[in-house]
Amino acid sequence: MNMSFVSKEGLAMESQNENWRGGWRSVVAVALTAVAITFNHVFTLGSGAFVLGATLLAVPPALWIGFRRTGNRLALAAYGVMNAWIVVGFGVITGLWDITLPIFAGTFLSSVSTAYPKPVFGAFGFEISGVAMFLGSLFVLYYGLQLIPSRGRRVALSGGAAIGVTAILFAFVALDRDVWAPPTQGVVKIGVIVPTTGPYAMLGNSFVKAVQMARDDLGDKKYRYELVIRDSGPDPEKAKQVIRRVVNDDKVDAIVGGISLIGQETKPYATAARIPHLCVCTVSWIGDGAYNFTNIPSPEAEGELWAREAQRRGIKRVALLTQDYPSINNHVKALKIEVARLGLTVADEQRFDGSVSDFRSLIRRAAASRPDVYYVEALEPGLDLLGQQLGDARIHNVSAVVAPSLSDNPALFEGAWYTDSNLTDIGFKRRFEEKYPDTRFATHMMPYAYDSVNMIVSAFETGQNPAVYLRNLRSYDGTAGPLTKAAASGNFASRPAVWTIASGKPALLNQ
Amino acid sequence: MTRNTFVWLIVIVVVTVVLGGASLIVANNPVQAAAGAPVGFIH
Repeated sequence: MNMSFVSKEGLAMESQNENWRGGWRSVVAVALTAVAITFNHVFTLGSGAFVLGATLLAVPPALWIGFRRTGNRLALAAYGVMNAWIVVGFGVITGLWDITLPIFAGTFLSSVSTAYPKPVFGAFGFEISGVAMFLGSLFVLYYGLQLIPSRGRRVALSGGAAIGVTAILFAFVALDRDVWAPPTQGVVKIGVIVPTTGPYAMLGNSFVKAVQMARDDLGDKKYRYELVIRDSGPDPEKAKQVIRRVVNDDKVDAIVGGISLIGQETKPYATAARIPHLCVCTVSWIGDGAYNFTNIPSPEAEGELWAREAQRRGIKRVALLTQDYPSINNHVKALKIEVARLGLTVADEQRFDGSVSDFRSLIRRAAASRPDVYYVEALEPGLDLLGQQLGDARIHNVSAVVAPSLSDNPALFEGAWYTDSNLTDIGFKRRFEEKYPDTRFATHMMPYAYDSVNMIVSAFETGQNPAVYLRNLRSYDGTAGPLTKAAASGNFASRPAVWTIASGKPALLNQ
Repeated sequence: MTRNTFVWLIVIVVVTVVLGGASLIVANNPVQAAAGAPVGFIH
């Protein structure tokens, strides 16, 4: 009896010692996962990630060695807690829920149903190290469980972990879906975020008026629509605070914004709040097709029409005089592609800084290239100075994309032709100017601001989740002509039109 | 091939497939959080 007892106890101890000897595998799994965690957190914590990494690399081995040397059960328990932290905190919550499931399940679900948003990914290294964190945590879990002496308990915990992961997968499928929720107390709040002060004040104030006009034109609707108008200011960093307040404190149901500089800051907030953001912005990547959509003619569409119109007018040689500025450079880039495609020649190309005020030498060089037309684009005050100095040099064969409509003195560009929004509903401009006689109508943005509000209203009135409604929307009859959107795209495309400055004012040419 | 080696082979294949698949999806996804850092756009 006694011998049998000793033998069983001896076997149990031997088995336990085997478990303890296998503990180094657990320590190695923890260390490798700690490396993935550190790398991943560099993207969010910066250098602070190395403090986290040093803690995860140093503390667990120290606890394990401490336990093996002294048999202190407290050290073993602390080691178990560190393992649980790595598995649950970094492996399941961050690695699985935040990163791995969106990559695999999110991508798959969005490909089969528009009720699911396309996942938005961060930097490549961040995403892949996140997946590595999850995989590493599985090894930490496995080898951690091997340290548990009772086989029955090990099996029970392994089964529990498998059930837990399956439940998380089902939870993701259920929660990732965008569903319709009627607005609280029948009020839909639409955030209007544009800069109404600083260099964009003219565009921003016109934008706000167009949005207010859209709201005033709504008539009887199922729900009440409130505008939450906020000045983002021109500084993107300061704009973040404004956007955060609109989304988190005002709790808007949708956002209509303008100016790409601000739209790019609004984008992550709209995504996090899972509300649609319609941006009258030319930067196409802002429109991700999940929660963010752009609504304005693209530089490519402007360039294509400009080159076609130039060809129609018999223009063969073009001189480019443009300010070095991102959106202007985008127009020039698109225009040069189309010009080359149609066999026209860029006779001269000069790009100038925003601080330039004397354009005479640039104009002389451009004139020497004997162009049929001078393509000019700049921001104020440079735009009007350039227009004035071109006039002084008796140069009137001037053209552009949008620019003359943004001039403070369009008469300087009398006779110039340019591409801009196709304002098919010309009555829209008339009504705007009657309603807001002191506000300048910025053709390039106003129709799209007006239409964007109406799109959001249509979504709520038809009882659909507004983001899903916009994902499914392929065409819309807008005040600036038909808007179209390819499947899965986040960019509403529209065709521009050719305008001219006649009697000091923009006038739409017959197409 | 021992059972242990076989199990490790499967584990390595699964880890490679998961990391490779994730890399392909992330690299080919048009919806990046930010494609560069644009500054100064007028509209």
